[in-house]
Amino acid sequence: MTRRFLVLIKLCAIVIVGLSAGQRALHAETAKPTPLDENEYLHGKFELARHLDGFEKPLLSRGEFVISPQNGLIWKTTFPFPGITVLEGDGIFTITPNGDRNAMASGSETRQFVSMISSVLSGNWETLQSQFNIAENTKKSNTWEAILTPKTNGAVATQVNRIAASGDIFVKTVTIEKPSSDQDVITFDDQVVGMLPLPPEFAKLFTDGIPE
Amino acid sequence: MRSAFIWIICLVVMASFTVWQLATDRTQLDADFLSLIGQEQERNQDGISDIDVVRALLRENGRQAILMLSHTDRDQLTSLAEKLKTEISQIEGTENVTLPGQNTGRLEDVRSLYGPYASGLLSDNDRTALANGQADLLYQRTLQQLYSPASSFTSTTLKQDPFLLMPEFLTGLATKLGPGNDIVTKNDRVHLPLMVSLQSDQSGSHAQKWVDEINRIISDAHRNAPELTIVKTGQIFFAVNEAATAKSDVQTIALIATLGIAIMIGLTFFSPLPLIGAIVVVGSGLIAGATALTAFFGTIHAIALVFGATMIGISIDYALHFLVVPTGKAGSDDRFNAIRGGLGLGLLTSVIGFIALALSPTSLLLQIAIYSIAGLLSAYCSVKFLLPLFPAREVRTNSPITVIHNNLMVALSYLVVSARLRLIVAVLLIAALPVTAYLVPGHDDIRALGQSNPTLVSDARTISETLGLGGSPAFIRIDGDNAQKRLETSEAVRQIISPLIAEGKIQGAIALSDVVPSIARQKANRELVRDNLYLPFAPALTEVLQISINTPDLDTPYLSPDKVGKTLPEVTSLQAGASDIIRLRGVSDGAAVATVLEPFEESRLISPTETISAQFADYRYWAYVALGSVLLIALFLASLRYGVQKGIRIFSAPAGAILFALLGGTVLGVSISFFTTMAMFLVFAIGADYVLFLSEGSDGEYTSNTQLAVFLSLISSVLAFGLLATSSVPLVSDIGTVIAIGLVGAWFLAFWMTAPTKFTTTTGRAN
Repeated sequence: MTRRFLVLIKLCAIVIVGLSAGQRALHAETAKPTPLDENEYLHGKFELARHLDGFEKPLLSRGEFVISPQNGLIWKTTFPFPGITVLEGDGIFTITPNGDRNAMASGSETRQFVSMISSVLSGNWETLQSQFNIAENTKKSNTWEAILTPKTNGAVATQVNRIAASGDIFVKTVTIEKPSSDQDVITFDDQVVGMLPLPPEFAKLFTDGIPE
Repeated sequence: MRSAFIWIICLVVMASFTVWQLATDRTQLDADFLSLIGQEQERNQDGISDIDVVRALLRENGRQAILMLSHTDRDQLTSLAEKLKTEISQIEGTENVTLPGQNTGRLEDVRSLYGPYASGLLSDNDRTALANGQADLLYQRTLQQLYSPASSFTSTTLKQDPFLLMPEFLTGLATKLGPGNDIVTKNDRVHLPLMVSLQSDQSGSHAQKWVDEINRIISDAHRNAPELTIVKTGQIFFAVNEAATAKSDVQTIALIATLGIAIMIGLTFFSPLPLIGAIVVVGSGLIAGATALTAFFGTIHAIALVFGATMIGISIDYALHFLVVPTGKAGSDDRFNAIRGGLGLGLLTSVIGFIALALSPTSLLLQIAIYSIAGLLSAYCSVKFLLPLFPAREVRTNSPITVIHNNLMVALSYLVVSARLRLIVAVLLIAALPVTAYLVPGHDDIRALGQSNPTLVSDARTISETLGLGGSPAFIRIDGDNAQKRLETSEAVRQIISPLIAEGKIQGAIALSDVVPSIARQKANRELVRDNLYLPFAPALTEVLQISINTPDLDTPYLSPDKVGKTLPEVTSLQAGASDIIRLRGVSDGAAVATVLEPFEESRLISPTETISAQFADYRYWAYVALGSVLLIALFLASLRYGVQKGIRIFSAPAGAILFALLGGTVLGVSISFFTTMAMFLVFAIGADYVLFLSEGSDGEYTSNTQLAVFLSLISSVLAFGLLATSSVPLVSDIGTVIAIGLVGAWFLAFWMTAPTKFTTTTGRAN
């Protein structure tokens, strides 16, 4: 059964992203996410539940995301309000409906944050090993869990208490626990890996990808 | 003999006292350029002078060194930077090392500080937007940030600041703080700043060791990673480099001069004993000078020590004056008696000169004066009590020096004219001196005194252009009766200089009012936020957040400067006493800044280099006043002793020597600064000695000996000071040039003004 499921995944992947995804499908047999190549990008849908200490209900949002090692991360919220946040090497920007880019943050600390969140979303633990103690647990049902605990005295420790991630060949759920007792729970769905270039509607959102 | 014994005991006691004072740190030797200058300035109404502010600012800047690491690969660069950080942290004298992105931990503290006052803290852009009726944009932004994965708010800050205004305020604050501690990519290379804070006592040998270690680490790093380039800047690098250059120059010159003087004395007496005698006299002067300083001052400044020691150098003239006197029939006492008049008057004139210097309101000049007075008195005592103990050595008439001197005297004797004509020349010289001193412009720019290493200058420029760090600091000082008034003035000044920032005439500025807005500004912000943002949009946001939102209350407490010090200790650099400081970065048009500040009575632009230069200009002024006073006293004394006409002629020698030094120095391009003016003091003191020695000895049997003594003094002084003119350090070279010109002039005028109309040399050849 498991083997048939993996074959199905393999077939789906080939259909969706073409031959380039063959390698990724091969890794599906190990039920672990494979870090994206430089020439790949990941697209999917998300649901973010932001649990704030002392607030009755979480702030719930949904939308789609694109992550590309070359460019960064696009977080396009469609519910409850439309909004786009772009995280890239130069900083974090929000993009208004009329296309204006407003810088939320920039600098090395932002770059660290962008690098960290991109690594988590793409399951690239290796780049996080310098900042986190990582405990992985592969389950029999071809799913896995990883607990990332910031190293003591590291810069991340002031921002995050613990990150829990789980998934199969993709990261499916990420829970970020913060020192303020707040918690972000993000679930991902419909993820596919594609080959660059990015679709124009996403490419134009990055600083160097805005069409003339 | 008994007097000599007592004097030796005194010298031993003085030397022991000085060593004890210095060894037990009861007296500190301060090499810090800024530590003593300006201490005596009249206090401003708020109790702190510009120079104090400059001193504090530069001292703080002086504790920072910046290394810029560049590489083509960012990851390799950060990895190498971490390694360098570890190595530099281990150097003795390093306080801490900071790399980009290592301040994240402070965000929580800053949020805790500002959170309760968030509704009164607006970024410039938000304030403009609210004032212009664009509150809807701010509301849209709030919604977007609530659901952004990169938002930095927490449940606590969201309750305090539901419209998320504080993150914008902090972002604006970070922009005002400047690019600072961040990685920059330019020209396909990644540049990373590594900021090093030094411990406060890094000067002298400590600083030299620290810089040596840094240089070693840099060359090791470059050897291991050839792609890596490192440039550095910081006051410590410049200070160590300039000190090493000056030290090397002066050591070489001192060695040559000492050898030259030893050879000169050896060739005159064919014996080492006179040389030893001269060393004893000068050495006793140095001991007494140092003792006086350690007794009167808790801290001795290096500049005072160097100048004082130089002034005491004239005591070698006293020794030579004694040594050339023939033994005579009655023994050593006769020798001293033969020179007592000239020596006594020379000492008196010099002491009066230095007393005049001590009366100036500057502690630096006071130290120099006390050192010199004590030193010269001691040298005089040593000539009186110790030199007679040395076995006498006659001047060899066939020695090369004597032969040269005799021939020179014969040649010069042809220039001697009538006393009346010389009087006219003397009057002209005396009259020309104040006119020339008035007309010759002073150059007190301290930047022209040193010789900065071209590589260090280039490195500093590269870092400034790439990272916007380092460079010459400038600031605006804001005065005011109370903290809130100063903050309000600061906000107004900030507003007025913002066009200059936009035009690039100032790269950036950070003020205390940026970190803590005035209460008036916070109140206005709260009103704006309440009326334009909360009232129209709070209901909608309440729907989204499902919490009640409190409208800002104008009566709740406001943020004040005293509340931020613990969380943001850096604000101390934005305050100086009861003044606030707006620190400016990259000021390229100081005149434009000063112009826009004109309407603000309680604010002014302060450039550290200009402030310090102005301080030295002030010192130069006082040195001129002292010099003028002592010249007048000398004229009076000379007139009393020699009558008016001869007195004027005698007096014109040192006055003319100063005139020659001024004119010659100006022609040769020497900057007439405080330091060269102090050199004029030396020219005066030595010139007065020459003319008094010659005048007092011109009628007796020792005339030719006195002339030889003065000639030997000239050679020794020109060897000592003239060689300084060859130094590569402008300050040292300027001093050497002025003194060399002045002394040659003093020697000629002393001879010319005192020579009898019928001149006779030791060889018996008549004029």
